[in-house]
Amino acid sequence: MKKFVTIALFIFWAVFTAVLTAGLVFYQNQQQQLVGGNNLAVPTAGQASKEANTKTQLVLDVAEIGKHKTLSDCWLIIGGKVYNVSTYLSQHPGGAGTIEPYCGQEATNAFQTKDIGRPHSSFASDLLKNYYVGNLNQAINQAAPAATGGSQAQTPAKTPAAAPSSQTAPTSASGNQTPITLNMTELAKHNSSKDCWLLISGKIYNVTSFLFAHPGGAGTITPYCGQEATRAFQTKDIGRPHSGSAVSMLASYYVGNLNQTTTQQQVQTNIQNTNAVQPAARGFEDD
Amino acid sequence: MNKFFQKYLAFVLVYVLALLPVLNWVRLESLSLRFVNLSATMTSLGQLTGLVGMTLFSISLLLSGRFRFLDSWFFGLNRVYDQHHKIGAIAFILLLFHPLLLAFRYLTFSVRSAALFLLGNDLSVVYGVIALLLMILLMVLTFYIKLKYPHWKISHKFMVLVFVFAILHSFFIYSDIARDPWLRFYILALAILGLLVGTYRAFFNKYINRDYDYIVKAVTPLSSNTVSIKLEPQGRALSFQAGQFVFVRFKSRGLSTESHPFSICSGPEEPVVKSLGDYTEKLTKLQPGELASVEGPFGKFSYRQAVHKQQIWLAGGVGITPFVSMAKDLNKSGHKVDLYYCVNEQAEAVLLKELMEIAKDNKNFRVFAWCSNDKGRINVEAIVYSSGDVLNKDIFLCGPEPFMVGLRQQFLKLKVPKQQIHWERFNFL
Repeated sequence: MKKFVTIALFIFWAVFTAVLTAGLVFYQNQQQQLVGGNNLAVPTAGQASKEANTKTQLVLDVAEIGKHKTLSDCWLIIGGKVYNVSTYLSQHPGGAGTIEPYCGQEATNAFQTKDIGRPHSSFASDLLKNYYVGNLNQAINQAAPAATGGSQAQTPAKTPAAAPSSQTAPTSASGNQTPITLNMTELAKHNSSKDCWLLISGKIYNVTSFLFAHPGGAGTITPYCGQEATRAFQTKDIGRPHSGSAVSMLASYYVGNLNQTTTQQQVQTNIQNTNAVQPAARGFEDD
Repeated sequence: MNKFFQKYLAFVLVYVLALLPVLNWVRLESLSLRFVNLSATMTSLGQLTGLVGMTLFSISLLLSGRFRFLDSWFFGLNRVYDQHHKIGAIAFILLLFHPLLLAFRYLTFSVRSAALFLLGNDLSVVYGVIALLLMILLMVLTFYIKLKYPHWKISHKFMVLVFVFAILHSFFIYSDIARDPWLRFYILALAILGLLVGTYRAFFNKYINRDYDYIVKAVTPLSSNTVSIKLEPQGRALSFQAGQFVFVRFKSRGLSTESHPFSICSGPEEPVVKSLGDYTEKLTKLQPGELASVEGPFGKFSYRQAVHKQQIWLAGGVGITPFVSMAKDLNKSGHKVDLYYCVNEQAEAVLLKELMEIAKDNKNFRVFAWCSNDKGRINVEAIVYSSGDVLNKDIFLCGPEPFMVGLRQQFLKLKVPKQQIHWERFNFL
């Protein structure tokens, strides 16, 4: 028995140290890349002036957050952090209505107590991280001026599944009114776990924010990111279809039809609208 | 057949208890979904290792309770402790793989998310991380760093703390336990039982118990590592069978309040207990009149449970103690016994004189002393030479592990039926 314990201990420490070391090194590299790419929260003066043409700074103060107070554009302050939960509203098990009164406002207490004195599950807290925008009063770079581009702020890709960053299209630097065609080329750009679009039955869906919540694990979806996934969706790769609730959930991630020409702004609105109209399709406890 | 069934009932029960949550886990969601691809498979295995690891951890704590009923269910407390060790070690191995398997899913995103996960990205995960790291520390102390028994025993009590964190982790984390009421109830019931038993055994047994009160009458050092202590009951007296052992806690200044195992070396009339190891030295300072509380008796190592009345007893070193008690008990029962007392050198055979006295009065009881320094290790040929046929005799072994394992194999080779070979480890803790 001692032999097995020794082997298990050895494997544990080997993997544990490897992952931690790699994770830390990787993070530092990523940090440096972020600094280089001017995506970090507070750029140096030189960088800021260089980028001034295309990017403006957005300070996440109470006034700014107050602007995002509708169902289709809903930001919350929870524990000093700002979250854009617009795309999530329809999925809230308690219904979008319970969140709506807090849109554009401080919601820490509401989140912690659900207004009934009981906390959210840790899974819910995990999910919330997906919608992180920045810290309160933090200055973040915005891809396009708030006046023209609505409210989608570029997030400082903090969490690996930072969904909102993908919802602002990567081409956003050129302005949200730029027409884009939802063709295979455009689809193929969204091919990572941080930005994942799927083509299912001629329709394009942005499922980035759902990846982590997928009961079969995100790993089952990621191979299809940026690709045709009709068959995979219909058969789950095991010859069995998704449930009706899964099909209706999918609708809430609708971006547009294949080869449809649209604008960045339209894409955003589509995502938000479908979310807002959809009935609460899934709860936290579905996973 | 009935005896066979009885003998394995407890073992089967333990593994059924561990398997039930797995069956329930299978029922919860279709396996094709759980094992649809590598990532999902790893996650599922991660969940299973957690679930089974936690169940086994609970069972292991239940077995640490040192209950009399476990002693009879498992046919001897040393087998209970064997299972406690084995199940504890399996639980530990499973729990080591638990986070690694679950981290795989995060690895498909980024190494950083996996690293954050392993450090605890949520309070409920942090509970798990604390529990596992503390468990690793305690297991390293158990397996690799040979602490002195009393120190190790204190360190091992912290397992209860590990278990508390493990329970917090199990019930705050989002999992099948959170989702399924049956699983929740089952794991909770087992965990609470385990926690109660563990806490009782580790911390409260000293104060709440049904131990027997005894008073020290005489202390006689027999050798550097053996001491004989004569005890007299105050009120209730222990009733025991020859060959059984007890745990004794001495209420004396300068001695730890922990209980230690002692063999009973006397006939049933007045217990004389003998102890060994570095604790012995301290025991010689015991004064007559000091108080002792005795827990027991334990053990199923009795010549009365044998198939045949003709028997061979084999003692290795300190393993002689239960045989002394049995030898004193022999007179009236018509058994014919050859006892082999195996030591390294004559001086170690501290109880030989006492045994010779018994043999003088009982012509059906013969004692053979065997010093391995002179004659080499004892073997079956030598036994057959002195005792004749062994096939129709019951064999009793007590002594160090290699001594027992080696002889047992030799007897099996001679086609002595398994059920005729009985053994008890002396240092089972």
